[in-house]
Amino acid sequence: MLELAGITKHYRTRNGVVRAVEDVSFTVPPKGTMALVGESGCGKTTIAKIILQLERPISGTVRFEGADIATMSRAALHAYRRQVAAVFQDPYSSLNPRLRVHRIIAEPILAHERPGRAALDKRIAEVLDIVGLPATAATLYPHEFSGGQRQRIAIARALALQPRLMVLDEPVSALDVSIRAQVLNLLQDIQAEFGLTYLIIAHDLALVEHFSSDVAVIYLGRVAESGPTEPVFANPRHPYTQALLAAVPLPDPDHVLSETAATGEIASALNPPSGCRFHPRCPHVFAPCPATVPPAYPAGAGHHVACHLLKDSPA
Amino acid sequence: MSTPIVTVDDLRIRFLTQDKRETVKAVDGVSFSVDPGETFGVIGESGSGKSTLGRAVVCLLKPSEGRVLHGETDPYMLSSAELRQRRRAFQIIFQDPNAALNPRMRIIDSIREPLDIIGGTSRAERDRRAREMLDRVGLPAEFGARYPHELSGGQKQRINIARVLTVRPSLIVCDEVVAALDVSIRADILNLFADLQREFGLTYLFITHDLGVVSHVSSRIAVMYLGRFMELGPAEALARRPFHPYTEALMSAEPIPLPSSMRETRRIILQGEIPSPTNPPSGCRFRTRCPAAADRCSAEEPAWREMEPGHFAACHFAGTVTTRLP
Ligand SMILES: Nc1ncnc2c1ncn2[C@@H]1O[C@H](COP(=O)(O)OP(=O)(O)OP(=O)(O)O)[C@@H](O)[C@H]1O
Ligand SMILES: Nc1ncnc2c1ncn2[C@@H]1O[C@H](COP(=O)(O)OP(=O)(O)OP(=O)(O)O)[C@@H](O)[C@H]1O
Ligand code: SF4
Ligand SMILES: [Mg+2]
Ligand SMILES: [Mg+2]
Repeated sequence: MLELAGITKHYRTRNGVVRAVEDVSFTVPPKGTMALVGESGCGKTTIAKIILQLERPISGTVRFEGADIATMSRAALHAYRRQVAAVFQDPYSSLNPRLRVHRIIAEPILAHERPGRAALDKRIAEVLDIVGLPATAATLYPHEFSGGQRQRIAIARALALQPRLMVLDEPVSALDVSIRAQVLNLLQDIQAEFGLTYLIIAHDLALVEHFSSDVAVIYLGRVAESGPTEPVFANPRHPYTQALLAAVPLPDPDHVLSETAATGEIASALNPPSGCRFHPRCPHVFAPCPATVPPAYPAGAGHHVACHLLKDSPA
Repeated sequence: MSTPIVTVDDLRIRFLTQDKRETVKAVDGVSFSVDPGETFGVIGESGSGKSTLGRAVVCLLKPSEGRVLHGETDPYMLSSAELRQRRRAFQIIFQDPNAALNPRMRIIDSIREPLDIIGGTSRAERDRRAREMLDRVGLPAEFGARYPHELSGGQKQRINIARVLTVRPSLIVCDEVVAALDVSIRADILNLFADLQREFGLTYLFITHDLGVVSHVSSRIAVMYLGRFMELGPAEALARRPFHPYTEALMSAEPIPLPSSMRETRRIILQGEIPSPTNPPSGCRFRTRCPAAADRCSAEEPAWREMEPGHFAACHFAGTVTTRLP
């Protein structure tokens, strides 16, 4: 469905080049839900922006159903944009403050089709209902909504497009558990019914474990580990994934904020460590780590681990 | 007992919708006070009025009715110059990380800006404090030269936090400050808040929808529903033995979304949506979703009763029913 190969993105700043994304490859299976996880600043949003063509990679390709989006014809590109919808990380700046919710949801639809007034109103009422907002919300402006309500408007707008691929960047971070579960359940129902594919970015690992079929763990712009969610969560092989999963908050309030096992400073994308980018924080670091970038070793069906430890102990 | 740093007295905030057809009762009769040096947590579902309450506490929204006192003063009785002066001591970290960041200003200048406005220190000292805070929120010094659009979502939120912390105001309203952060950074930031509280005696009003966060950091917690408090009490007692069915439902809400095939067996405790704050239900406003609701609940608004010292709840059957299913 969607395939990224060797995607690299650097940003030039006054203090040098930020290596935000480096040689990232993964495949999102049709009707699957791929989750991108990793610490703040590791490059998740940048990857999403590249897929949405809001940023251009300096190298690598994005293929949608086999076709390279960088070399698509105008017509094919128009069709691609019709099929891919996004919910951006920031529910505030992604909604135009001068438009009523009705216009906000209608605009992307009208860019591609001409439904009648009644059909359009019905569709808008439907998607608002899906995200738990009353139909009267359509007549209001974004500033009249709370943070969580705005996040739901953004989800409604993406759903209204009836896309085939949805890129969801932290779509439920502003929502409390009950409405969060409602929204995620609905996204799953819609997926089952219409065969949608999701790419979701989330920092809530419990959510990722239950919602996604596949996962890619990103560390400082590189994929550390990827594969079907179940084996990756059940048997993480990369020391970074192991540390990340160890930091999952437990229900017991005394352990809610248990420290991550990873130690040391968060390295910067401006000056990433040599070899394996995780080596300065890794408890298992050994000779090859600072010297060479580990390749993605296979570790079972579809499971890949970019760690030198895997060299002699394959799946 | 020292004077509370903030006293909120029967506060009501109403909004007229843009089309002027309806009145939204976002905060509808809330009273509490916050003591110096404490962390007061406010939890509640999306749209319950938390941000509106937070903005009223720092005088960004004027009460439609009721009062907010800063110490013993009513800020709205002050001259506008005095009010501006006072506002510095009462700051808010917004839920929206862009709200306080000027897109044309470098990060370090954004962090230093509140100190520049206050004045009274040398430029070198202000720079030093801004850099120190950048470091304490876990970002390399190099970030100071960047502009907001060159930061990730979580990085922007940390700048937002740094900006307010440099000022060391007496009270900070923290509106969903860690929702955008992953667990390890979240723990670092919460520790930073705790350290600064110890160092400078800061007071926090901590707004969040995340029960784990609020029960970890707060000394007292208020549970908000449709513009009103349902329960207020010491954090530990409230988590261990909630008196209100709504608090209990929040506590037992399953944080894990389930596929539809498994949903029948799931205990759905909080059924349905929050009703509209335009026209809240009669009697107890939680009754339309309450598993324990009885006839009396629609007829009579429950009183705000002190169930244990310092622990209040507004439910006719507070403490006598348990909504937990087997
Ligand atoms: N326009 C830009 N110029 C320079 N650096 C940038 C730019 N955009 C992003 N970056 C940097 O690239 C890195 C990756 O950013 P990105 O927004 O992809 O992170 P993220 O994984 O989405 O993080 P978060 O979880 O905090 O949103 C960060 O270190 C960020 O500071
Ligand atoms: N300016 C406004 N005009 C009209 N209605 C408003 C306005 N601001 C807020 N509201 C409404 O008031 C209610 C409370 O909003 P508030 O932002 O305080 O909620 P919240 O508890 O912070 O929710 P969230 O967790 O989603 O941020 C909501 O129903 C919202 O739609
Ligand atoms: S007063 Fe009635 S409806 Fe309200 S919480 Fe108590 S039992 Fe439920
Ligand atoms: Mg991001
Ligand atoms: Mg809010």
